Amino acid sequence: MTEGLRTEEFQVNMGPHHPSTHGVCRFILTMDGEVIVRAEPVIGYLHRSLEKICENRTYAQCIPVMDRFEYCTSMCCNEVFALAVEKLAGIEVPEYAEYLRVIMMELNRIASHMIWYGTTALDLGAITPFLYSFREREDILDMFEMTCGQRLTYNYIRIGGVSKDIPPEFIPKCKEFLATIDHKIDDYERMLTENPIFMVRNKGVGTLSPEMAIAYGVSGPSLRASGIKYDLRRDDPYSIYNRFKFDIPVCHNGDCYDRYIIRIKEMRESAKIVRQALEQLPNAEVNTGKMVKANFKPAKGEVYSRIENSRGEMGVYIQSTGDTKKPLRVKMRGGSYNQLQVMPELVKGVKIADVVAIMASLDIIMPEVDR
Amino acid sequence: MSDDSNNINLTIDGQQVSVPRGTTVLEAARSIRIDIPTFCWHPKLKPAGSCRICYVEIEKARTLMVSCATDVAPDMVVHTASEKVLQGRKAVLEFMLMNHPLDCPTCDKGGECDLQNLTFKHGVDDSRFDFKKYRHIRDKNSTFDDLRIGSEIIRNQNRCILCYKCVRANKDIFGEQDLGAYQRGNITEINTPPGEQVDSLYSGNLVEICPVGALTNTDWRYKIRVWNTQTVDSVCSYCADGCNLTLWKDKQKIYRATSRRNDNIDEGWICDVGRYGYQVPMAEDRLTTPLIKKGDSQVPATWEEALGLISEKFKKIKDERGGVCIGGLISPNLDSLSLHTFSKFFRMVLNSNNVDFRAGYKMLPEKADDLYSKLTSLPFKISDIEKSDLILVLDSDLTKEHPIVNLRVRKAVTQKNASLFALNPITTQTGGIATDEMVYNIGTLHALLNGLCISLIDQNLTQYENARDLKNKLSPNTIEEASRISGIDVARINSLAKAITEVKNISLIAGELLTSSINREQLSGAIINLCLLAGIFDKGQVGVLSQAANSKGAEKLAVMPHLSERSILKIKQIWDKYPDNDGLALDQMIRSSIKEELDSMFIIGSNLMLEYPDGAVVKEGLEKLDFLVVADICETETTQIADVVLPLSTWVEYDSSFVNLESVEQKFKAAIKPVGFSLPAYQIINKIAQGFKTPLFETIDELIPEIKTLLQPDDSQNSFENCAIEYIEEKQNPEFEIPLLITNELHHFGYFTEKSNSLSNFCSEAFLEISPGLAEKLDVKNGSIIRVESEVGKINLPVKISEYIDNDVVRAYRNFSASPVNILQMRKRNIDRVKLTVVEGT
Amino acid sequence: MFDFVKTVLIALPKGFYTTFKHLFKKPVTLQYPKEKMPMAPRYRGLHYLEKYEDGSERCVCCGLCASACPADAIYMEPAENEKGERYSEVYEINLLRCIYCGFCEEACPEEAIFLGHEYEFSNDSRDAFIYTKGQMLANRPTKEKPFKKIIRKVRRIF
Repeated sequence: MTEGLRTEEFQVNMGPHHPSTHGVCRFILTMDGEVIVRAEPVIGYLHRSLEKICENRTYAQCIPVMDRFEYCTSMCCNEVFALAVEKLAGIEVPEYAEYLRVIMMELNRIASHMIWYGTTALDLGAITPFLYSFREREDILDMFEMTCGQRLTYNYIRIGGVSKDIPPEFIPKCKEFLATIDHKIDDYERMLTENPIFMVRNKGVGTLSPEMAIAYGVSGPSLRASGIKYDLRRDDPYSIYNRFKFDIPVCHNGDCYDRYIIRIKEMRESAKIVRQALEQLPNAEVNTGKMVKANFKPAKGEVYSRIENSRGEMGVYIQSTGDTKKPLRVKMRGGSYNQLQVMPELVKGVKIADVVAIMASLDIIMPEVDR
Repeated sequence: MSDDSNNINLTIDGQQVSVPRGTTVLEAARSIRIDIPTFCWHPKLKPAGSCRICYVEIEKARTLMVSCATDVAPDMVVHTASEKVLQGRKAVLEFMLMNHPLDCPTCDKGGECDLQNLTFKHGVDDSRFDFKKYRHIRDKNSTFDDLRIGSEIIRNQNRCILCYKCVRANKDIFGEQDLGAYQRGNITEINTPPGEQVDSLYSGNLVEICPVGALTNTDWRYKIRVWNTQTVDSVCSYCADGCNLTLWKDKQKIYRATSRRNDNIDEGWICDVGRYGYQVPMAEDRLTTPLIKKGDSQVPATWEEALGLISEKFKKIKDERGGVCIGGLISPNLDSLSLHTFSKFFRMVLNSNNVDFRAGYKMLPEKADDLYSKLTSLPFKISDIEKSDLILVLDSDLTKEHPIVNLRVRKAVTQKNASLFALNPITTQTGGIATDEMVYNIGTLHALLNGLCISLIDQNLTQYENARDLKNKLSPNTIEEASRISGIDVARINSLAKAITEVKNISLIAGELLTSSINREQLSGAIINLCLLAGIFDKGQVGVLSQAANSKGAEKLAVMPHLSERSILKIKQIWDKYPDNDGLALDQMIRSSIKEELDSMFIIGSNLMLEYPDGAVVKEGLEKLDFLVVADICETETTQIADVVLPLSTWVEYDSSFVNLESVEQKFKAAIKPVGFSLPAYQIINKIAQGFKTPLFETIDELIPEIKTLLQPDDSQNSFENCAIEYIEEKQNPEFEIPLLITNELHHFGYFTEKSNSLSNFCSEAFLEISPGLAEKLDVKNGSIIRVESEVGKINLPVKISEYIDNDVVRAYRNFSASPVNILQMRKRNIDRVKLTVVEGT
Repeated sequence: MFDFVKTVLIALPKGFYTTFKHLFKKPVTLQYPKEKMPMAPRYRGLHYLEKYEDGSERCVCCGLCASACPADAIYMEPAENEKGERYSEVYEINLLRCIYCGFCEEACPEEAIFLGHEYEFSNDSRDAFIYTKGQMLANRPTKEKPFKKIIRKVRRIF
């Protein structure tokens, strides 16, 4: 090496229109050759000021806005807002409606994980799993469509209950789906779990230590993959989750592969919950709850409600003045934000191709980050 | 602190409250902000207890009590929200909804309906009445049972909950008999007597107080939903009463005006002119760009061109012939900022005192400190009228001139037992409740007042020391002579004199006929004499009521050519200078123009061609001007002959204030943006001043302290001296013998209210009001066309026979540009006299 | 070596087996636009306005849909017809603002507006997305969308 020549770091812009960034996230990667020295996420491309929009809507009108908060699990978004207002105003939700809510949320979780499964494989170069998972997801969306009329933005779970009863054909269709879902997930596993390429790309990549996970506020499957058994459905039960028996899968390595395993297992657990809910569904009284009216004004106060979403803890903070029909302040918390935050730590020292694998395994979805 | 023994202590919902004896439970609860729902209760009406929704539970009472009609009693324990009360309310609502149609989606009241709100609140969503609802069918083929019961009122009896608020207010407050309840039971309906319509000046209030959608306005009908509108606090821009309004607007359109209750002025009632007057700014033919006269036509121009031309011409006149060759007239219906800026522009920039606002007056005084302005500067409070024991109304048809003062007078007479004496040349509506209505021969008020003074002196009813001395100054100086001239019996004059001396508090109200009379000074002197003799200055108030929304403001802001020493001092104090030339009053401006001494005039917001009480003279005067600038909201007869026409914004388009007849400055807010390229008057004036390189202000905040200084009430006491009063009979041409009065029509004010559709629905064309006796003599019916001819002009008018006029007088209305009645008038004549001929073929 | 056997000889054939077995199954895909998916009855697509049996419009322009709309997509102007009834002179939905939440359908007290099954309404100009009353009435499907299961607790008098 001669005196005058030296290498220098350079910057690579990844995104915002990179297919692996799941929306429009942009990374400014500082590279030393092939190796990443620093990564800086640039966010805000999907900012729609949902919090401010909610502050200018009546409580009932916020629900369809929440649909857009995290569109892979709109049912959970509906639920978290409804839950907050119900807590604030002391509204009782009928048992029947609670069961419908749980069924919908768990089906939605499965659908969300299916998107993740398909896109992760796609990001790593495998197209087939994507087609498989979206085939089953379609069944779930059909069920949502027949219930509430939409396939993505449901506007189904309302303050005080759910908007409509399930149609008669829902239960047979759901039972048929549940009967085959385990075999379908077996299929998924056969394609990826032991696939040598997949394993090489994922094992030992992006290891997230439990300490770092807690420090960055990572939650949900990504946290459980690091060995911490924490699930709001069990640890801070909301709705009627304490009535169901289900396991909380935990892995210990905290790498991309473990995060994959966790999500596959979670799909099975969710199916288990739906099965139990369908069995327990009270047939005697069909009461979907009394929805709040347009001039609904909850008492003065503030409330924070949180639920376990497929991407970690999702929460909504609402402040009410008590004399207006609109919330004074709405703050949303999404799991993806914290997972994006930890990304620069995880990608330090890895190759650029691994960024894609890490990002896919964390299951970041940009609307939830940008709001 | 009031006497505690008169107060009663009671407990409402656990809160202790102490209220005066005679308060109702409802008022006591409201005083501590406990809300009890009501339908039939209104703060200004007597309780009726007909709706039963205001149920409260009173301990030891057998049943639920209606709180609006139950007086408080010592140690009462009241519950307003107990289970029993809520159940009772719910039951009342269920009964009301028994026959109430559920047509809220089509009902205009939806969104602000008391019944809807309460039903929502109490959750009455099911009915146990399974039978069909009773329907008041008007027409089997129509879906709705709407009936037009007035020009602007639509009634839907199905929705009525029979609270009788409209009937009660119409009768008790407005003194009208044209609305009542017919039939009984659930087929009761609110209706007019057969063949009549609810067309009184106050009819819009009935809609406003209706708790449901039974009475609705045509102007608001099916236009917009109430929740899509925004409200703006405003003030009425028509008469000088200064009622507070709420304007309901969305984007660039105003949809309605309602009352904004101010207990000092309007008590929550407004007249229909104020209510529908917002439609004038909404007129479709508003001027939107400046126009410049080129050849025979006026062509649109930009502001730069128009202002450039004005500045250039004005500068030229000022440099060559002096600023005194420019005259200025501004409408007193404009806001304080504009009036002040106008005066400032003439006095500071043009160095001239030629500013005036009094377009409709004959023979304006040519000096300051006249008796008339002394009288007008006396303090007057509308709310004090009801404290009076005796009200003396001189030369004023209050209903037409000051509808809200009229309501106070009516309240004082009907509710507070005051006695009312009306001294008018015609029978008036207000006179209907008077103890004695003295209809004197037109033009003889000062003779009558002389008689009254003499009566006071002769009967030794006065404490005034110079009484004997005063008597010698009066002519006629015997009561019999005065009685003969005025046509009022001696006994009536004597009894009025007695009544005046017997009471403790007197309100003396004088109106437009006095102000516009040539004998203004003599009449003012006669009033001063009467006040001195009867001591009215000490035991009551004297109000010579100003006419337009800001007439009082114009007086105070010195928009007059001749100012008192005090005003000149104030002006020197704020501007450091005052032009030392003599100003011209409007009257003189027009004469100077005819003599070609005045070169130019700047007129803002005034249709002088129709307003000036001599059509021929004003036409000649304005046409002889070299350069005429007119700023107005729409095209008028005056803008048509102008060299430059500027588009003016109306009062709903900017923030400013009006000074009402009590000298109270009331601010109003802009509801919409200026229409087209129009500008507020103060901005137009400032832009012209900028052309002189002497802008009047940078921001309007600079003007506010100046206006505040000028509007400050005078601390010094006016001292009054008695005056010599002489009645001289006006010479008259025997050919023209019938006196003609020209005033505002009941539903109109000024020249632009024609542009309001609603007001035009009440009355859209000029007519000649004559008495039944005269009609019989001339053999005419309603609608016959009569040629009205004076010495100087003639005009054809349809006839309307009215009971509110005397045999020897006819009345015409000045508000209709199609019939300019001012061509009948002569500026030097006190009483315009006409002869009437029936036009053949009608 | 063991890894090689485990991965290449066992795991990969396992995956290939999974995919190859679908060669003999009926495909789940549809040949859109030739084939279309059946819509659920509750599907919320393009709006339409309902009429009474006698052909008169149900909409009375009460404004509840517009005030329920979280996206401010509905604009309406009421007017009075010759029978003295209230009707909507202008009724427009900005389809670009609309978020198809179905609140208008739920708010309507006259059962006039519904979200139909139409979903193919792309266009190349923004103006074309201002959806007018005439279009909404014309878009009414021949087969009625079953009315919402609203138990009419309230009685009509008409």
